[in-house]
Amino acid sequence: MSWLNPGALWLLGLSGLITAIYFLRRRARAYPVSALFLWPGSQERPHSFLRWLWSHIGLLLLQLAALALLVGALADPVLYAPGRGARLLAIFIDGSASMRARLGSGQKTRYQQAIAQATALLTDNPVARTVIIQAESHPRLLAGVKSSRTQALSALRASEPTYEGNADPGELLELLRSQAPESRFEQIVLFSDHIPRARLPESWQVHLVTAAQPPGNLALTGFSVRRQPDGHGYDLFVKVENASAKARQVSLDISLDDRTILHKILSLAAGERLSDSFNYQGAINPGEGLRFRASLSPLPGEVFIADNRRYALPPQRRPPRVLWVGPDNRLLQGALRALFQARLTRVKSLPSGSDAAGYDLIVAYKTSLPPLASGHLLLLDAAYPPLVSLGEEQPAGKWQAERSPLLAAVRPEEIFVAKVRATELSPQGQTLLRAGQWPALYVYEAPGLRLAALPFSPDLDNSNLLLTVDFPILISHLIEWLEPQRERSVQLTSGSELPLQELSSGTVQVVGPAGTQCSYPSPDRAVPCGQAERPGFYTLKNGSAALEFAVNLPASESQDIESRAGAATPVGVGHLPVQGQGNHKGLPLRAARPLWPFLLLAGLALLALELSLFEPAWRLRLTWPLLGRHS
Amino acid sequence: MSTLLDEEFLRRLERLQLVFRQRSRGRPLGSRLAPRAGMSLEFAEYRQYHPGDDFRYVDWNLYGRLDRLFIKVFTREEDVPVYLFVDVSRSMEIGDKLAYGVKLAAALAYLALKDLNRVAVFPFASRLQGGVPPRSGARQVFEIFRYLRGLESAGETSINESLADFCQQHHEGGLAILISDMLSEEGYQEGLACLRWHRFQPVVLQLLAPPDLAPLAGGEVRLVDVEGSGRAKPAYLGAQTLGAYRARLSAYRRELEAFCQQLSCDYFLLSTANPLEQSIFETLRRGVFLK
Repeated sequence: MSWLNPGALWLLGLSGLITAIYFLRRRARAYPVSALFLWPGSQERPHSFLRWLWSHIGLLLLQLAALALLVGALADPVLYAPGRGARLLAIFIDGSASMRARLGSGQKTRYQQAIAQATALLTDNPVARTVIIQAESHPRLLAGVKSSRTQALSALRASEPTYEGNADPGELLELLRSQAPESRFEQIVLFSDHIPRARLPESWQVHLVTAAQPPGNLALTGFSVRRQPDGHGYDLFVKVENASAKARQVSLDISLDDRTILHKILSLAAGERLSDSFNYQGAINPGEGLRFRASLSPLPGEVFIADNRRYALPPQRRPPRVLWVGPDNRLLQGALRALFQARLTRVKSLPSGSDAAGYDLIVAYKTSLPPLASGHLLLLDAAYPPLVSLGEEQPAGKWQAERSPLLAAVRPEEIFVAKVRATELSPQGQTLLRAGQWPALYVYEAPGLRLAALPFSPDLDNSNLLLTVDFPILISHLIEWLEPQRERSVQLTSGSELPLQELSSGTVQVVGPAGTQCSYPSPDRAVPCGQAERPGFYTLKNGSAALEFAVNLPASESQDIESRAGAATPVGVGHLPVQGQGNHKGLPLRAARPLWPFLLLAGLALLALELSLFEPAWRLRLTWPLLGRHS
Repeated sequence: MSTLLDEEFLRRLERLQLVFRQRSRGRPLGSRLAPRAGMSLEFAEYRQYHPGDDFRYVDWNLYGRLDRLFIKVFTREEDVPVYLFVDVSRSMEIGDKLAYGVKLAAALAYLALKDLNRVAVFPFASRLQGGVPPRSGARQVFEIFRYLRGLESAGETSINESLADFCQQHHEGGLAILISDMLSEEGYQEGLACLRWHRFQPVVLQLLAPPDLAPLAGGEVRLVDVEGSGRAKPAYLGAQTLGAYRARLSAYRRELEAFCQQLSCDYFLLSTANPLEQSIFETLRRGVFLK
């Protein structure tokens, strides 16, 4: 036996109140008689302890027993007779974006059909305890094992499909195991519009109930934008798929902000997948963003309005996070901020064993760095033993430059340096610039580590480097080489977390695709998945800084539009056959036996008995017909 | 009427008749043959002719044989007043004795009225209440039944004072039927003696209910007198206490019965646990009250 609503058992605490009231109000019950003068003065006392106990707390025991029975009825106990019913029922309901598809206007969505079938399954098995999990890329528990049937049904009906991708069966099973051991689940029913591609454990019995008819659709499955290498214009990449059984013609429209920049008619044969690219050389109007939208219209067959639209932003460079180690140099630090919008964190020294993994670049100035496991290091008159060991300053000689992209557009003869360090360098590195016999620019690369060293003081009393145009060019080359992946990913899939941590501390405002705004006090916390669940453009604002993201459906969701003519063979779905489409009949679920009606009747009967014993008038009326034989 | 006695029961009552053992001076037109000369068709006796007698009653055949004048005397048919005293004190609530007593009174009133007797109903508790004065005629049964249905219990029992009140107002004699549990601490002797003194024929119908006759064990209780305001007595209803009570009640009943024998009046103990038909057609017919 188990309880479907165990929270009600807390009401047993009322027994203390009932006991207190009983003893506060306890007195001998009135017994009306016709002639008091015929009754003798009684000195009699109960003979046995049980009678004494009954005369003193009999009614209390009846009250407590009635309370226990009524509370037990509220707790909804269920008796599982062997072979009579399912102990636990698990329902996975696919909440991925493709469940939003509907068969024509006015029809139910796949998700609504799945809800109807799941509700019917629960109604047919009214007392089975149920765990309901919405299956998407971030599975959500709709009703836990402690939820009552009413709560489970309410949660199921209130749920909505997301824009997320398909669920990972492994994560689903982990979530299910968090509710109860596997062995307690006798049935698992999956309501979905597709067959999971991942293999499930053989021991699990999974009934797959498809929620809709096989669709025939045509979707935009890919869209991306890239800035052309020469910096003029953009390349647009488009993937379109015709999953229907007929050849289709469809118009493709691409817009920049609200301005249409491309209109093209595409012809696709049945089942054809088309990839195409376009070039946009048009001007970007002042005040215009770089929000590219692609859309297909019209969509035949099933209506899944989310998979005919795609959003894209050109890759954006993000400011590097720089750790400055050593004494301050306001001129150099200001130059880094001005040139690269670098965000500097300053420390005097870096202790041994420090972790600098959170920084894109470590700039060491007139100090010595401890060994680091990985990182990108720019050494300005600084040491990094054993790769770079500084010696005494020596008079600089004539410049000797190697041919290297890092020195492109740099003219060393314009740079004056009075003294350079007599430096010992690791032979695995490469000296690109020498001042006489001493190295002036040294680079080193190993897995996870890149290092560039300028072993001379760049201060104005030693060099004019900071005053020449070569300085920003050289530093720019070095930083590009040291930290080449500075292009921030601006493409997210729906359901992903927005990377708030890229912004500095303070309130972050998130503007969603529908213009919705919400604020988060600290960027340290990841935004819940739901915040980026709708496809479209998101903007994160933090003071004057703003980051933009384009959120699209996962590619797999658009691919789920394909016809499942071959779905009769389940792919990795346990050993049971797939059930009929849209039909949950035949699932061998049986109801367990509810006990609450019996407990309720017994509790009420006990209350009636207690009342009849307590109230003489009641007792007389109740027992009168039975006492006739005593006369 | 239907709520008190059903038609089948009334048809069975038609076969019964009240028995009057005592002479009383009733009014003519009754069905009872009084031992006085009257105008009925039933011959009673002869007596010698005296001057002034009506010649129509002279038996001329007897004169021819004996040569003496004799007058034929016929019996006189007269009614008997029947007084029904119904106890409406609070103690009649216990075991629903009042409802039982009302039905019993209705049945007896019907018996009396069908024999062309006069019937009066007097409820009483601490004092005699107004009631229905003596009435005759079959149609009066409706009014009497209506009155009986409206009776409600109230007050304490005082049999002596109630019957003394009655005796001061009525001297005609007749059948006085007392329907009560007769449980009065101040007694009943004076009241019954008063009736006897005024030449009434008292009939005591003592009504008791199962809670009076055989109360059940109930543990620690507060015995509350339903008639006394706030009179109560703590007791433990065990075998010992209940046994003592039953002994006292038995002695009380024996005393009442002996007193009734002493006054030559009828006494019957009726239990509300028995059906009314059983009480009337078996218990009361065993005596000389009904035939």
